[in-house]
Amino acid sequence: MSKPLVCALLILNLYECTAYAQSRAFITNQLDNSVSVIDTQNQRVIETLKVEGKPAGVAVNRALKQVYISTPEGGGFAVLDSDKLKSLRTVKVGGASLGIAADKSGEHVFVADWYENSVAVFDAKTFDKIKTITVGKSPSGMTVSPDNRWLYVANRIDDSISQIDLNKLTIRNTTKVGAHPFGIAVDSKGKRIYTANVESDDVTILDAQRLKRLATVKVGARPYAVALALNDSLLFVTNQDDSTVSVIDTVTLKQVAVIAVGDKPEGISSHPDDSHVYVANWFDNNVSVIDAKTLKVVNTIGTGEGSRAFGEFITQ
Amino acid sequence: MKKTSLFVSAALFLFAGMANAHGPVRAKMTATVTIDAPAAKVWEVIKNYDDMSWHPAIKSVKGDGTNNKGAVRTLTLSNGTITEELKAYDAAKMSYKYKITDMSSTGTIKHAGQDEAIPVLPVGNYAGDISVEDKGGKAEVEWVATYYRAYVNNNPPAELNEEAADKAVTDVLKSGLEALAKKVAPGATPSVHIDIKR
Repeated sequence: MSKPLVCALLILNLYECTAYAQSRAFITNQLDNSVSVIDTQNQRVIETLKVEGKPAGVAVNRALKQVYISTPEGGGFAVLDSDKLKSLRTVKVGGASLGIAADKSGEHVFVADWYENSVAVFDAKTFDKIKTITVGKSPSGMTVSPDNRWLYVANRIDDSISQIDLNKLTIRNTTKVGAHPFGIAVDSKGKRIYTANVESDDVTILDAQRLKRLATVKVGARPYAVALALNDSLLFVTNQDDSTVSVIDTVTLKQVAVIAVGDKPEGISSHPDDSHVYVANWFDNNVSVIDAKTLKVVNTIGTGEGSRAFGEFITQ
Repeated sequence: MKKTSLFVSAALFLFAGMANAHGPVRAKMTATVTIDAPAAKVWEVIKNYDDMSWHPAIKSVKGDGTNNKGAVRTLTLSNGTITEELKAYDAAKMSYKYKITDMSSTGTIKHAGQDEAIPVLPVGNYAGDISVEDKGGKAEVEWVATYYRAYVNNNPPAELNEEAADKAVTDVLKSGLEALAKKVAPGATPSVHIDIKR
């Protein structure tokens, strides 16, 4: 209620208010076959879109104002218009699509196939498949470096990360991390990558260029996904079996807080304001909003049954 | 007649093939029963984490005598043991949450060239949440279980697939809630409602 008023009054901060006015969180509700769209300014669900095929992963294409939703049972992904909030089409990939990502230029969509051990590369304009790249076993989380040079893929059953050269669309390097990496994040300068290792209850920190292992930090039980906030100074990790989020100081590499969220948290994304973190809680059917400065849950927003939102799910 | 049944089998086979093609998806089973008794009276029976004498399938429980987060209990069933950790306990809300951390196996089968152990409860990463709520003077008990099938790779054997997991969990929840209802309100004919989402 007060936010638009605050915006109107604080002319100096007008840029801040308008810059994120359109930021929306796309939350996949796997058990409901739907996607809840949260207006992050008003902090409420403004639309629920039907997406068949047990929607799981989310990727945002800011250039084309599109959102991609992976549908493991649909064997592909759905394309949504992130402005008009409607479904545009579906794309068949085959197998079991889970992890999904878009490049920074908005030209390509990458879809990881859990069983085919591959990443399919699609043209974001025509949705023609350009290439299939064989990676490690059960590829899951993916992220693209800020300079659009690399795609990082977590190969869950291989306990490894692959770095794909986006100019050549080939693997440049693969390295071991903890047991069963699932979610992955790269910092805003492209210096480090972080993986949540489900079976070893820790986070591996790697040099993003050469994939050199820098550190391993213990977190809670069954960590699934990671997100950075406050100028990359804090890493937030969903601990699925503890119903918490671990907060790691990325300088000291120590856990500085454990925040109680909903049950079975999985997907986690930073808001473009860099100071709020959204967490999808599968069991509780809602989203926890964390203030990265106070490390407190400031809001809980009801979504749909089985909220996963695996991937980077907030638009600019 | 023969033609029809052949057709039906083929359709079933196709359906099973499709259902398995996407790999493990977590299930959420919700079992509920309404008992004609005060909620507090029902909670009194189930509130101690190391007491599951109300459940007919569980022969004995060994715990540490507390209801503290992290407490471990070992259930002995007719075919093996299940170890569970207490994840959350809320006496005011009359609820607790737990997860299975270990299970004995009931045997081994050969599948896709590998030996696969069959756990006591053929599920993976199982977590449960049991709670009692007052509904206009009656007690509503809700027992929610979340789990994957036991087999993690594609094309599971029948012993370790979704159907086996669903059946086993249904049996545990249903027989438990029925027995609980009969214990608190003798002579009642409890009706347990089961809902599975995957």
